[in-house]
Amino acid sequence: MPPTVGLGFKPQHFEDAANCPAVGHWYEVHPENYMVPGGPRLAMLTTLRDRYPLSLHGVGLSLAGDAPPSVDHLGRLKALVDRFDPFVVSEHLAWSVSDEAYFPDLLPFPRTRQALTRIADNIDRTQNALGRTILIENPSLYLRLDGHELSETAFLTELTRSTGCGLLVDVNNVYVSARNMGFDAETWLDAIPGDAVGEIHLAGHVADARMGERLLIDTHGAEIAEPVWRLYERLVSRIGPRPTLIERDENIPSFKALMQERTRAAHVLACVTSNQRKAVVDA
Amino acid sequence: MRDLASFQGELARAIRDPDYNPAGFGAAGLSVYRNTVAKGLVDVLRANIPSVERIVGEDWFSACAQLFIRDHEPECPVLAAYGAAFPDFLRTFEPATQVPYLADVAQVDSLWTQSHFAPDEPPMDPAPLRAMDQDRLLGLSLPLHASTRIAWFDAPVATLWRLNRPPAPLPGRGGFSIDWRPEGIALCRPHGEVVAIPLSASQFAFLDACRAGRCFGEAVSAGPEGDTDGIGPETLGELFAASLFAVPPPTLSGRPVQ
Repeated sequence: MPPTVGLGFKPQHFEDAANCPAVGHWYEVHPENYMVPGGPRLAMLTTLRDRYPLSLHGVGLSLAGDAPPSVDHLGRLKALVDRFDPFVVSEHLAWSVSDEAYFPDLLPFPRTRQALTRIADNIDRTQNALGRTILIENPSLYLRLDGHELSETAFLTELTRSTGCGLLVDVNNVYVSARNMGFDAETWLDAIPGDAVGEIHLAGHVADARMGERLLIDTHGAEIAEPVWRLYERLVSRIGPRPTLIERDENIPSFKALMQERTRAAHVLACVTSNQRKAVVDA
Repeated sequence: MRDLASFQGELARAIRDPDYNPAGFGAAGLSVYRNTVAKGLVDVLRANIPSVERIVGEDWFSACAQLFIRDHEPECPVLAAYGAAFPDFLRTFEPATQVPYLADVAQVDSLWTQSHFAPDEPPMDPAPLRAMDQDRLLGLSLPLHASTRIAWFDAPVATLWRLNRPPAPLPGRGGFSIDWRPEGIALCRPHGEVVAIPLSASQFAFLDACRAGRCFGEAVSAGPEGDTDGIGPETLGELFAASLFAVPPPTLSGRPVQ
């Protein structure tokens, strides 16, 4: 059974997580949290990897920065990839390192041709160092910047063409960015080349405390919102089932509560698969 | 049009400096990035040094952490060791001097985190040492286990740390009764999770000498003069049983290690 719907692994859920019987289940972690010499954290990941497929979802390569990714950091990532043999490795279309300072966030940039060349080179360097292709995720956006020369979907599509990388579509980020930047989320999703999509993320967001619904914040701290579910159904109806992650990093509920969202996503994927089979039979 | 490098420099400056709002950056969006960066670092500090917040409360800790992160930007995305400089920061942070043991409690948290992430290695089996004749034993020098960290304090910091390290229960109405005296502590992770072991002055001196590579014969007399609870066979056995030492080199079984 290929990976269907997975969960972001939370150490406090380890016992339940390591014994989850769901078919096609998998886990995703930020590799930066496991770049340590030893200890219980790595031991837990070893146990999980013995039982489930694993995805490494990086936050530290700063691929949209104006400098090549750190050779040291690539080395640490390669060591984890070699040790845990993930079925997918992903990063973000964002930067987090500037002049040797690390900002724990996924920061934006003007999507220019110059940036496209730089970022494609950074992705090439990463893929060469790891010996495999990676997926690139669309981040949530909060700043309306001047100077964009390409739309986000055109920029991502160009990266897949020039580097061979795939895409990780975070549907919640599409929704949040669409609301914050003033574009149409459905149009965005329809413009993404389906063949390039290797993974989908689903998460919750909240309205900003001061700005309200005019500014949505991708907190990973709430249940997945209904409009995001509808966008997810639209995307997988078009491109077919893809490994889908339920992300939760704040206000972490019980494992059971996360599994309820997992079940809903698995149902969406099963319906798509069933419809595809039916279409083949009908043809 | 700004190139990528100059754009990054500007946004980095705007994140660091709340009074810098470059043209073209919306204030509301900028504040989201500023808040996320600050929250990310404060959350890591809270996770790596959890006992301080327990002592001073959430508001004081958050305010103090904001000042710390401003001057301690991480250089790398691996944040497992972030906050190692926090104990020294607290030592020079004037408002923290009202709680004279605060920096030392933070230091024990930092040592716990170091022990938690230390390389995995099997602990020493004490059985061969127990069976060894004393002269040979005193000639040995054994390395500490990779996860072993030790510290000595002029106040009951080990006790204060144990009482305040989450998830320790909050004190009842009567509070805590603490015998105010110097204390030592060893932290190690021979199996699974970190364990804490209280140390007497002579036990700390013994382990400190072992850490420096001195042989047991020298280490047992490293304690303070007039120390009444010196290192006898029983105390040594306790330290061996606590798995504070690394597996000895293979030469141990054949001849004394010099």
